[in-house]
Amino acid sequence: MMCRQMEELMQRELDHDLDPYETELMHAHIRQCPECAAWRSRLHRLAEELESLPHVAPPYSVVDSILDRLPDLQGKPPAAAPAAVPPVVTPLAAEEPPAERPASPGRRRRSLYWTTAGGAAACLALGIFLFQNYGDMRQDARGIHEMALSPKAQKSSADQAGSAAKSSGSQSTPVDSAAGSSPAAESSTPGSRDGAVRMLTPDTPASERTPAASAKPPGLLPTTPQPSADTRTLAPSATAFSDAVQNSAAKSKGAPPEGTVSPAASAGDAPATAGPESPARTPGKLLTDAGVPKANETPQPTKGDQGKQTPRESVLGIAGLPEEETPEAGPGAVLTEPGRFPGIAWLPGLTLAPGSGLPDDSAQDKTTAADAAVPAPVYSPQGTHFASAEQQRVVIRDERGQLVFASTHQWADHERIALLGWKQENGFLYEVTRPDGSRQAYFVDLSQKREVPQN
Amino acid sequence: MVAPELIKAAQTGDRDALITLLREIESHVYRTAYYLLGNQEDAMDASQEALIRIYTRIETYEEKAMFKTWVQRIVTNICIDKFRKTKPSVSIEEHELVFHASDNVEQSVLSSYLATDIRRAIEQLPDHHRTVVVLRYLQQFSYHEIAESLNLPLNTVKSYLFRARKQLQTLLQDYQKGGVRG
Repeated sequence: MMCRQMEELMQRELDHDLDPYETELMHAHIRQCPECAAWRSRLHRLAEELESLPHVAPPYSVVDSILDRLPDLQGKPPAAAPAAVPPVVTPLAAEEPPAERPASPGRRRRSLYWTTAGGAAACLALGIFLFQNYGDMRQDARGIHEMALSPKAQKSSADQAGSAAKSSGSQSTPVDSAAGSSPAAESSTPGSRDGAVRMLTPDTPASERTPAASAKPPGLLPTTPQPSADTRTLAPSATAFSDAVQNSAAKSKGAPPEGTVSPAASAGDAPATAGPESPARTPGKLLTDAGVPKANETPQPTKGDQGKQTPRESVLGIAGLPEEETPEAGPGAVLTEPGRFPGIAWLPGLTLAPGSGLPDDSAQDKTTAADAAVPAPVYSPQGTHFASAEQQRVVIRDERGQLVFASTHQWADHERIALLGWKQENGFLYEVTRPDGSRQAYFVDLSQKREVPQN
Repeated sequence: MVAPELIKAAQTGDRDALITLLREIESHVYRTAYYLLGNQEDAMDASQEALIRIYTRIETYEEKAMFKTWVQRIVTNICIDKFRKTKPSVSIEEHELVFHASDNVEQSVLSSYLATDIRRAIEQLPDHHRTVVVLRYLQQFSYHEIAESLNLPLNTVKSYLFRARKQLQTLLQDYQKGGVRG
């Protein structure tokens, strides 16, 4: 009977529920009762084990996973951004409100669509602009043709163009070379299928092109240093667009037609350059003034130009990447030599040049990685999955946002995660940079739901 | 410990404050769900449901109760509903295990229990016993807080907890001896 009472006291002792009198009573009993003493020891052992049970944490943020399911509070303003969102939990781009970032791959995709749609709209606007100036350009071309037919006019045109070239300086370079349209210049422009480049690249038959023009460097492909990942991709297109718009605007204002009257063209080859117009021309080919383009006119790059040119330079946003880029580049190249790729926060859709990684960009990469402490989510090539960093773990979800994989290890706050890229739809590579600069790449095999160190 | 100001802001409709509040409690909610349900997937489901319920019912919280016990009441109710749906109901009386002194007390005392055995033993407990143990040891709740969370009388909480400890002792001894499991 006494032991029964003591048992309760021993239980309450574990919960710090005994008063001093009860404590003394219990100790007095266990000094005389070895069985109760043993029982008490086992209870203490059990309590210690229970207290040391691991405080498990969710594999990814529960709140993030339900954000898109949380209704707006009635009559209250919607959330802008949660005040205490840990940055590592919400690895999306800065333009999206953190509160709405993680849970909605569809939202991200919509954002991507909007970006694409915006680019398409810009292209359309440019096309309309060019189409509206089509008449002016035709007149310009006709004027050139007439000048070419008239030696007098040709001479004065040469003077005029020469002065224009001098005054325009470096800006006229692409125009000049475009007007010259050397085979090399054309061939080094894989993106010349789109209107913007074509506008600067008259399809003069090769036999009629001047040696002088052919000898010119490809002005459409400036070999200036590439500034950053973003601008590196977009700068050439921006330049081409800028030049195109400047040309058209200048023409519409009656300025000398720089785009078509280059010194080379006016020096004697203008008749060939400004050939008879084809009435069947479409607006998209409006500057292929030499006539109907030939199917076999597609120029082949020369070796020298191949070395200088990268596929990025042809990306114009309008026509998209040249088809030949896609199969060669991509995360497959990443996986062959993971150590070559520094911590770059890859943008969705960004692919590697085949076999080269991002050469010559190590300094820029560091800048990029430093700026992008929180990597943006990276979609698989088919968009069936996307990877992101949440709470310092790499998490992969399917297109519906369902968790497919979460890295077992949670990296420390001072360790930076870089999402490198996908290998097809079921392989993903990421890299962790430690404060001492050391890096470790990991390959996530979704088919086996595991990750393997790559170095 | 969630700041009272944050709770008040959340109750007034500040969605940012409410989401911040959810972030502060999500690990506590998940921990309870994990030990009650025994696996990550069910725990995530229950945690999501609990947080959504907290989000939508935050205005019903009254300060006379502690916020943490209010939260734990929500998550334990969801978990109990879940494992009632998935497991056959077992009454506490059926599960009642009587403590028997071990034949080899010293050996039992000296050897430590494996964490996996402890988790498995917890899963074998009746629902309410398991809930009391989880709140006591994973949330460090007092008798009073457990009673408030589960809406149970204080003595019932004590009774459940004491019985649960006994049962755990017995189950763990069985595991150590390679005896009956489950």
